[in-house]
Amino acid sequence: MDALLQRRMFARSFLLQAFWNYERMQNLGFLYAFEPALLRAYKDPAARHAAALRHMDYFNTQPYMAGFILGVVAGEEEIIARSDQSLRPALVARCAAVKRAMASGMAALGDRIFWGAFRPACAAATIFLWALLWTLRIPHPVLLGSLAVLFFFNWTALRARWDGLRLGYHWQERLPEALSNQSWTHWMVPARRTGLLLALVCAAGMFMVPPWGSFAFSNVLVLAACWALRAKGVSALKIYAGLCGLGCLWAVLLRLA
Amino acid sequence: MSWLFLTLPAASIGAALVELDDTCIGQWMLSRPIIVGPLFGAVLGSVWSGVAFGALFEAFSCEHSPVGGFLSFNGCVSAVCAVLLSAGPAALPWPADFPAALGIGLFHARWMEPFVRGLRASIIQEMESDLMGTSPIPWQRHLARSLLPHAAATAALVYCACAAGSLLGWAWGVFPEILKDGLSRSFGWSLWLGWALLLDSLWRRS
Repeated sequence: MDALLQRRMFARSFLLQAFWNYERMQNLGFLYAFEPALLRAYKDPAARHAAALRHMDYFNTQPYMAGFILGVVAGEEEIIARSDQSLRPALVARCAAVKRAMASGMAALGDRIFWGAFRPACAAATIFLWALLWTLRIPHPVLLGSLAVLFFFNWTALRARWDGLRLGYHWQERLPEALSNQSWTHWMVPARRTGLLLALVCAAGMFMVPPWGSFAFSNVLVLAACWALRAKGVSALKIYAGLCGLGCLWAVLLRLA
Repeated sequence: MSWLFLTLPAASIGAALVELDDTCIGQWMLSRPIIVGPLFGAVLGSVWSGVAFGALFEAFSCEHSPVGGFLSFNGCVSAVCAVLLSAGPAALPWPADFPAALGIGLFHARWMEPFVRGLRASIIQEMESDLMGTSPIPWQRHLARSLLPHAAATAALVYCACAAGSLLGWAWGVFPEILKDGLSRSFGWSLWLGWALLLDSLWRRS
């Protein structure tokens, strides 16, 4: 894949979800990001539009992992454009099958890496950095902490989008094998563990800060109870509603006493 | 009056533009409550309320992953509304501000955004008829039709909800003392709920 095509598809991939709809999810966003590859593969507008119609089908994946699929499908589409008319139906069917399979596989991987690990780990890291910079009396702790975490998250996400295009195009169906050698896919467990450690340090630090420190036992109890309920699958909204009810009951009991 | 006709409209438009990052453009994490809360707090001269609400709503939104069409609640809208309600002329106290902002975020995710997404079905049909011809696809027009209603709906919701902040402030003033006390206590506990949610989201998947 040449640099110009990669740049154009990369820039357009930021609008992958701009047309999100219930009927076919990211299909139009995919087509928008994929259009530069179609323009390159098909010089004839009628053939190009016929190919574009094939990509109007249902499509959904994790947005940061879309680059991989765009790369794979760009390679497949070039092969279709160069092939004989007799071979086209089989190649078109293969392209659609590969696109579908890659979309769900990449979505599962991306959801686990970015939504499941990096997002909560970055939240914990942001709070930790705010507290650390504020304790060290460094000016603008909130701004610096937020910018540092934004930079880290986006560096990883943008790298996945950018490298994904090239790797997908280069590796085609062998992409899963190539991905297993990418260093950033192995960051998932360390990121979660680091985030958990930072969150525990911050939560423990809060017990030393007034006014929470003076009610340490009840706060530990609330934290443990909420965590246990959440681990049982009770939603945050239900736990909060329960806390509101408990708070009002507590207030009534205090008045009566 | 400058609040209603200058600050709040500007903040609502700003919130709507930043909120597009959540599900429509980029996903650069600019719309995360932990980023947008302190940002709006700093702009409105109330950094610490932005920090507190940003962190709290971030923990609430870590509970679910935005997979497929699932929308639990909009942390960005909640964090911005919480900051606007506490920094605005109503100066809503935090124990009242938090449930109000949570409700606005829920309304956005569960009713408003699905409605806007439903409107996009017609764009698919238009696009298919565009592709039957040979003229270039009018992407700018389709993008505007897709994104403008979303941003306009978000801006309208933030503006109306925060303009009604003075009503909420009045309602809080006439609330029974026992309920106020109970909500204040539960708000104090909700900070620990936030920690529990964050720890659970990191622990469970480990």
